[in-house]
Amino acid sequence: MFLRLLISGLVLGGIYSLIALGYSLIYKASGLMSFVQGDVMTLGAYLGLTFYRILGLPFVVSLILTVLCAFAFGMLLEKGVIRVLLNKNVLPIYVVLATIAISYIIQNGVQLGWGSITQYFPSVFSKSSVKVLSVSVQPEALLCVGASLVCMVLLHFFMTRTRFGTAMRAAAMDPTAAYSCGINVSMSTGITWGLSAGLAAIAGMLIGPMYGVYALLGSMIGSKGFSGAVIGGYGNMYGAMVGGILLGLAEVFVTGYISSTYKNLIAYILLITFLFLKPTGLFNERAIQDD
Amino acid sequence: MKKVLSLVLVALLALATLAIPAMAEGETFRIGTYFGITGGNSAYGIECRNAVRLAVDYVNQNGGFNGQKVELVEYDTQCSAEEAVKVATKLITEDKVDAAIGSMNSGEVLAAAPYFNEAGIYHFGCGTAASWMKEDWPYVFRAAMNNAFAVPIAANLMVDLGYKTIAIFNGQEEAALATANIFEETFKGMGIEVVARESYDAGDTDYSAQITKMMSANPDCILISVIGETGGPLVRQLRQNGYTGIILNKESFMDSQIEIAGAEASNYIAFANPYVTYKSVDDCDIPYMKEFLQRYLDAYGQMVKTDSAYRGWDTVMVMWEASKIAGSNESNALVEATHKVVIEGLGGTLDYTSGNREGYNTFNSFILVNGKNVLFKTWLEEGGYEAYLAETGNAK
Repeated sequence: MFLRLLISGLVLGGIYSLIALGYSLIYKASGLMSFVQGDVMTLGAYLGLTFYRILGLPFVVSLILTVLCAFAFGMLLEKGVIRVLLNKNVLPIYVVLATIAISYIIQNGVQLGWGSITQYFPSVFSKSSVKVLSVSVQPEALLCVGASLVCMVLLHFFMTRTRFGTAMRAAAMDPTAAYSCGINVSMSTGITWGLSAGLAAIAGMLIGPMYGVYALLGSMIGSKGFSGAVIGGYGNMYGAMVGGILLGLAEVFVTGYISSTYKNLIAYILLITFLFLKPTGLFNERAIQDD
Repeated sequence: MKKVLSLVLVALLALATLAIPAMAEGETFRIGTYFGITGGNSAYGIECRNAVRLAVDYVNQNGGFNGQKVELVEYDTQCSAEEAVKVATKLITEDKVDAAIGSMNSGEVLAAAPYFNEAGIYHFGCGTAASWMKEDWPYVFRAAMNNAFAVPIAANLMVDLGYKTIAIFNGQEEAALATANIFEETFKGMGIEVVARESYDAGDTDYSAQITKMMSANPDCILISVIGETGGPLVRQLRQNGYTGIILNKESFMDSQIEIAGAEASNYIAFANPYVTYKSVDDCDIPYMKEFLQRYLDAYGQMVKTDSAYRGWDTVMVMWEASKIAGSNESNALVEATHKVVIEGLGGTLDYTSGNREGYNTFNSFILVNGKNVLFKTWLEEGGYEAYLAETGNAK
């Protein structure tokens, strides 16, 4: 049972990590908090479903198109809602509230667009399960873990080793100073939101074949991803990955060895515990305002 | 001038006299409905509402309720019990409906039905949980199955197969939880050991840990007692995680669920239910059901995917029959008349004469094999179980 639980935990954690990466990226690059990631993941799953199942496009093409659409959505969200609020010099809490409103709009919007019945997302692979150390696992789940690892490394290098990534971090730390240095703060923030939406869309498209696609698919996963990001250190890419995995493992082992009754409870107890005892998370990521 | 005035008055009086019966005939019988049209389990609410609309059209084309046209006053509960209560209050106090048909989510019926009962309004619920019909609510009826009635029949399937152990996986929703509890008690009484019991919370998407735990207990069979929306993803995950045994379901595994789980994963799901869903009208060989399926297909351009549509149709038909027996549309008369209703429903005979306010009292048991719902008894007699053992390599 241990091995089976371990693999299940890593798979579940991989999904949380992809969402947590989006939260951390937005915070790291814009200093803002968003609660829309889970529902953008749902939107990504519906877009993927449309390209892959309804239009019959190859999976890779569908994935690319989905990520591009999600990126455009993220950019639009930043330009049409977040930037408008920021230009009005509102308190950050209003941006958070706006993202919560957007998440409800997405939930209802996808119901209007695709209906309220759970949609079938065909398997990406010909086999419905593969054996990993004698344990049956969905191949899409392994893909999800792999995608999380790749995205984490790419994002870390993008944020720390590229000129644009450095500009994004500068824009988050001090927008005025960054602007005076010639950094297009608005564009930088827009791209951050676009990238985060793209990440969530990848998660949505990968979990669709495992869980099916429905309007509330991302609401719980979004909350767990947020917890994972906080546990790892809000704003830290490695932290998001480790926090997500840790949360997935904790949930699965609590279910396996104690009771499924406490499955969700543990996620929020861990969140509160870290906020009380180590708000900088496992990777000691300080909040931007603390710098 | 007086003459003219007199003539006008006479004419007005005559018009008024003519108008009185015309108004009486024009009065409508207002049925309030509260279904989850948006929200988690809304696919089931939409089909139930669609079927109610179809049935009301049919009733109106055939004389209405004692000559009165039936009018629906519809609300969306968003699949929430709190919203169902608000809607119930509105239907009673503002819309002043004559009767009501409630949600296919038992939690909503449990919350809203007492308001209708207290107001003395003739009411039918479409949920399948045993709980809300245990209450002493004389105005509340059901034309859908009661899960509790199906439990002994379904549990007996385990005895037929010689199974001794079972794992239970249930949701926290009213019908799912209440039915799982009844199953657990029934299994204990039959000497079948419940080796694991797991649950999930609303909004959960991943059940792998619960599945792992259940499989580690090595049960002969797994019982799933979940709401419709969860069934498809759950069965898919059960199979993907390597469970190849027979799955016992609290109700039929519907077409909408097979679409999500996949046809192969949906093999060997056993259940007791009054009716099943069909892929096409031609797949059905029951004349009354076939007629309904064609009617639904013509109206909505798609096949019925959940049995909640059957519940909606049956409900209106029982109410209509009660109105004919009563010869009146007054609530108390309808209640009294319902206890005399015996009609053919989509799932067999709906018989209310026992006084338990339930229509369906006996069901068939089925097993889903290669996309077809086969009578369990026939499947056993024709060597289906041996074929299952050979195909899966399972010892049981």
